[in-house]
Amino acid sequence: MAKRELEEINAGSMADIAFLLLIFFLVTTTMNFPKVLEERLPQKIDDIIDPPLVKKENVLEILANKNDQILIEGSRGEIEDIKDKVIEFYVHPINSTIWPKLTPINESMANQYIEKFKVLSAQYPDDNRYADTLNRWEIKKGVIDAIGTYNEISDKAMITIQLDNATSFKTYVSVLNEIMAGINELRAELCLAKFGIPYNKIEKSKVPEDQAKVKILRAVYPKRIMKAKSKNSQR
Amino acid sequence: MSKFSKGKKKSQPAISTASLPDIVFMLLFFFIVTTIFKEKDTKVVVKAPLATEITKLDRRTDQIYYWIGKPSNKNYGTGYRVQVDDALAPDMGAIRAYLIERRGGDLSEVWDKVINNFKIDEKVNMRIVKNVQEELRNEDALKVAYTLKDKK
Repeated sequence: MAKRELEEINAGSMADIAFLLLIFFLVTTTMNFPKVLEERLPQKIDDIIDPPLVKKENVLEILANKNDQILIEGSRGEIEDIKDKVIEFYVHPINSTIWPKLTPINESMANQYIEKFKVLSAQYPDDNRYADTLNRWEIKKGVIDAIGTYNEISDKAMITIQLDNATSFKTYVSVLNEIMAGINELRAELCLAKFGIPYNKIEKSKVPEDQAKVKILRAVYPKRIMKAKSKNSQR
Repeated sequence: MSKFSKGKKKSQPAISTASLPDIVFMLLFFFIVTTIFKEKDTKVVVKAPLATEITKLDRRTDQIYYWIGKPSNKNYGTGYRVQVDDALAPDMGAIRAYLIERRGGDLSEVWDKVINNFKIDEKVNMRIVKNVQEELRNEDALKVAYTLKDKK
């Protein structure tokens, strides 16, 4: 047998090795990426202070009781109703008395305030308030530059969720989810109208231009959700 | 039998398995790329509620996991328990102790980079959730996310 010169390396066990690795990865990994709803807890305040008085129209009050029933602005509602209420809370006629005040912001107004607070913050460099206000107006100016005149919702406007101790987590999540659905719908609408791209394309983007756009949309429709302390559950 | 193999002693050539490793390796790489590691071993059973407005979390984010649900092993009791990362918390105070241990000695702004990822069973009542989050607030760990199931 002179022909047998090249002895083939037996590659049969290679498959076994690869299978072992494959099975290891199948067992230790998971396919579905976790998807989350994010929230920021309020900072801990040591001494008890009386909450500042808020006007009724500045608050969208949502209450979930121990039986997981929903009360929106004092009247019985369903989870699905929350989204429409949230949208109404942000977008409504300017002269409305039951919803938060909307202030139309235009360029000359923004410029005027920026000038004013530039002078003031230079005059009183120790007082942070002037610098803060200046900063806020500069953000508004940025929004106007990008999308033009817009109606700004009162900075005291907020959505409060009141929960009972026995409210289920499921109910809390669905309330939170519906509120976010409302806000996201408004942002998506504005995004499509002004930038011509869907909001969900840029929401989690890492590109600085996209992030600037998201920031603008968030400035117009800010997410201000507060978990209020539950009152007594008899209600 | 002899009817068919009459005369010929030549045996069938074996099917070449040389390409089998290639196929398996391809599968292997597919799974390495498309999957992620399971984070932790869970000792409690959690059925997360459904939601639509959920977003993907950057997988490189530093996270602390909290599970709230009933223990899968009855030895741990039948009521709702909180698991923080790897271990069941014996009480609420243990959560804060874990956070202190996690951040180390310095009270720097470590918590701004850490997301506290909650996986909570839909039937758990908000009192337990509030109590756990109260411990987080005591430690100034304020970033919270709830892992939920996609409704679509």
